[in-house]
Amino acid sequence: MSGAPDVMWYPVAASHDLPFRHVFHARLLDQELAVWRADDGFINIWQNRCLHRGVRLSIGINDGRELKCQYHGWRYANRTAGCTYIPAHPDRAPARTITNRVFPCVERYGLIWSALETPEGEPASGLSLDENPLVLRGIAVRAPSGTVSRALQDFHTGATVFVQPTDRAGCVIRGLISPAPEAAKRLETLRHYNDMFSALRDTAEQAA
Amino acid sequence: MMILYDYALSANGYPVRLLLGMLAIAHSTHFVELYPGRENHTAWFRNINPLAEVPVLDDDGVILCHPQAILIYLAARYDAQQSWYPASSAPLLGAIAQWLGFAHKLSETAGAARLHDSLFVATDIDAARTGAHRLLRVLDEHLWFAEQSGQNWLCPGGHPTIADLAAFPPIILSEEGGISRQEYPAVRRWCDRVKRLPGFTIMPGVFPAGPAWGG
Repeated sequence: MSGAPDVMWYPVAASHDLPFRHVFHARLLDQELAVWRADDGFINIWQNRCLHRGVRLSIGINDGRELKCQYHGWRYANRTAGCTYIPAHPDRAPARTITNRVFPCVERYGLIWSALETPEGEPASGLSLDENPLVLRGIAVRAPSGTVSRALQDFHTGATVFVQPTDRAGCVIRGLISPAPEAAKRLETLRHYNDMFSALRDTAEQAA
Repeated sequence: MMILYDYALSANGYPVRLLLGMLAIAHSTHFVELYPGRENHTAWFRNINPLAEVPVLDDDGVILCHPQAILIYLAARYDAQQSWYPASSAPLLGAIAQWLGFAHKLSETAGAARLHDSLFVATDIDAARTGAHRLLRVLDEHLWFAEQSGQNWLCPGGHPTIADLAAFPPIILSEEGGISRQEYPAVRRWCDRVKRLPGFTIMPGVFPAGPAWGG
């Protein structure tokens, strides 16, 4: 991948990271994100900060239609991220300007893709991937994404691998096996790549 | 009459409070002011527990002074379904003991970091945080593969065990010790599952989960 990091698609989660009524805590290029799937299937990627007092929304409550902050109960709507209710002012509709910052989102290949600014084109463009590959366990690494990407180039893994830069000192290795192996080999394959990328992580962290 | 000697901010007392709530066991609580009163170091309390720690359970003369001992006792005696501590399954008892040991390591690292930051207890804070992250990494891997095999809890089977309750407090309170759980998504999902167990109660620093059903 090439281009300015702010306008590139990166995976920030796997589809299996967003079970019913969960709020996933992600980080991309130093930006903390609250990622949640509403009951209608829409995935929201928001700045991880309540507009009221700055508490993380990733500890909030996903009620299927809104995300409620744990601190003073401000509610934000699915899709628009607009504030719908402020408990201290029960009779007044919140101003429309009270809307959380949203980030672009595409769900594809079993991964949730985002970017700081909306990129042109599709995630993983140029790769011919099966639409339903096997999604490997994401491996968080306390080493810079550049270092880890270079180390991965030396591996001939058989996996399609993306490196999600979380901050200057960290990243997540997210891999796919496309097409997915037969069901009987699924767990064995997940173990195999988990062990491989964990070993790579340990080496990269010792060097970092 | 069952008496629990406890302190509202005690992470060690929390798993006992959780199991008492989940099994709906009638009891009374005697609060011992650990901070700032140091009531646990008074003669009357040391007479109950020479280690000067809470929780202590006194169940009509059966006195137990360690959270994991109390969990085993309560589950073995009061869980009619025998699902929290299934005495008939040797492999499961082994797994429970192993994860209780793991929970104890979490208390000694993540738990110690929290006490350092919130109640000013002396500890090697860097070692505590590093140790906690090492454990959370192992735990996240374990829980991720458990999920991939259709399992929800620390030990195999369809029901949580006392090991889940013992591990939960130092994890859910870890941020009070400066230990983020952002890199442990499977641990975060497991925390949601624990919070959604019937009879779950919160403590200071713990937020409830929303319901995982429609409406």
